[in-house]
Amino acid sequence: MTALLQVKDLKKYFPIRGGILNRVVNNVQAVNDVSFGVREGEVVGLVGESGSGKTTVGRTLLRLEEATSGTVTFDGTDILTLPKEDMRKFRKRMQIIFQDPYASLNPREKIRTVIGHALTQHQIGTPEDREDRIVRLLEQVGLSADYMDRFPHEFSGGQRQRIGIARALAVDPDFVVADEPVSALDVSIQAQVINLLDDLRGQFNLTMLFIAHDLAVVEHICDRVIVMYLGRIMEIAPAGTLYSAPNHPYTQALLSAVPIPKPGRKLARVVLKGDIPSPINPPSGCVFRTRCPLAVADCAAVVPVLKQIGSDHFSACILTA
Amino acid sequence: MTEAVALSLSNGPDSRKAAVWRKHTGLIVGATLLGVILLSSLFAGFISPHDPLQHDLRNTLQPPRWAHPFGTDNFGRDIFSRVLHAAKLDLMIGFLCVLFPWMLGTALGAIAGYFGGAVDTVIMRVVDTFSAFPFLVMVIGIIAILGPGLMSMYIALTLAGWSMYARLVRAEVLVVKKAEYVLAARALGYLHGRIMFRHILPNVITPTIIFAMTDIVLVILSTTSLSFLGLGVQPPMAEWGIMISEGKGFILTAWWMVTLPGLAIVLVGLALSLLGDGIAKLLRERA
Repeated sequence: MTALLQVKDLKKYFPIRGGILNRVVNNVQAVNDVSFGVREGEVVGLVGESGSGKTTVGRTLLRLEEATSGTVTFDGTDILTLPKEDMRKFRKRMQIIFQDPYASLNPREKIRTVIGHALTQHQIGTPEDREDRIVRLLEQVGLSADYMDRFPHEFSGGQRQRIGIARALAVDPDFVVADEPVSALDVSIQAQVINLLDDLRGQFNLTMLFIAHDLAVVEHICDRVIVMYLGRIMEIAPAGTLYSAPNHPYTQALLSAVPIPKPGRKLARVVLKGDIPSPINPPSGCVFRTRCPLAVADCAAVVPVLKQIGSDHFSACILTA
Repeated sequence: MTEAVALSLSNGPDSRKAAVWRKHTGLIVGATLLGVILLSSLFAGFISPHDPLQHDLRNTLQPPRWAHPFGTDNFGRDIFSRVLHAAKLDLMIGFLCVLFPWMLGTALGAIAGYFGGAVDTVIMRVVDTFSAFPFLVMVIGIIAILGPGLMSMYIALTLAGWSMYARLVRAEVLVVKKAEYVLAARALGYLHGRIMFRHILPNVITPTIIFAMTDIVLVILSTTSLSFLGLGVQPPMAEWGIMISEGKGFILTAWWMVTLPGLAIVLVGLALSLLGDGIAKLLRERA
């Protein structure tokens, strides 16, 4: 299978300006040398702690942030160099679902406009059948068509998130970035929205990049998982392999922190010491070495590259044979 | 128990009215006062007993009495009629001299905040330059260049007042443009115009309206001050500042010439302040 989306050496630095001349004095290295592919029809999870750069990766793919360097190829088109006007037309193929359903809907637009304008902007359907399309989209995300003339403040968090999903799917995209779509929701609602996304994935033939910090959620919906730490990829593995045989020490630590509801189970927790280092001055060599329980002197010297260790399984650790 | 419930039910509408009154006293009083002033200024032609410009040299400097409720001035003109006609002019100037800076400042502030970069730097340095001058010094300076008159006053007050609005709007736009619903609009490939007018401006406009409500009091005070100094509206037009200026020579013999137009200014200022604070409170509760 060929990759629908291919990311190569993606870098995003946010400049820190200072001094009276407002010069760039330093950079926040949010995303560093990130490369991965997403195959058509696949759901790829992107996990990591807060500050690991996963949201920035998602936004850079859609050019909501401009990348510092690297290439993103989508279905044969290098989208990072696309002229603004071409990119604007291209946007209907790639959409995003946001984390906070309370911030992602304009409080002054009715639901009819929220979804309807996406259709008119990209000239989807005739004016007459746009109304039907809005109704159908609302029903597909589990909302009643009666809600069309209401404002966002009349809905609950879960309902708002469904509206956000309908807006993203209105333009019939091939690829969707779901940026922590359930982490702002109540636990009881999370499962509903996850299942909805799972259903829609089949109906709309979606390819998805699913960003999350919760490994339990990712296990349920993803085919493959990318683990990020401090702007770099630590491990890429099929979901099953990642949970049964994690290779990278960081992945092992993350997985040991997932609570397992089984009484009497022996806890073999790997507890990471300290905080995630500053992305302004990341550690030399392997960025994880300062908290890694297995770190050796060599870790400070070389930046580990992703090595293939199994079918579809890659890990960036020098200790991996 | 049942009795108490019945009592509170029957008291419902009344106590609700009382609660609304307690909560929004300023707003209600201010709106009523301004309403009365607006209506009487609009119908000044019907209400006022005399022509505001008509001299009557047999009846100069008359104290207030039935035929002339506010007395007459040194030309025998009826002060009540002049105060009413001046209200129309002063309120209109006050409104327009807030409207123009609000429009100019909002437009430039929104452009600076939205596009950022060099556009932002250029606009904001111009804002800095304009806000570096004291308000009245700049207004008087511009009028000195353009020559006194109504049109110069509009231009001067607009140029002196817009920078505050630009600053306010830019700061709000910087916050809202990072909001996820604006990112969603960009991700859907919406045009700049739509993002600006449908997604950003409606969500940043409230604080500028609150500010404008308080600004209008200041602008009316500036207008009357300028006319008092002979830089704004020119005699013989009826305007509160002019009337106070003309009456200051007679302050010991005819107190009503200065005091009563002055009271009109106080009343309008009070009404607008109460209304402004009331609306600000109302909008804050909504938000």
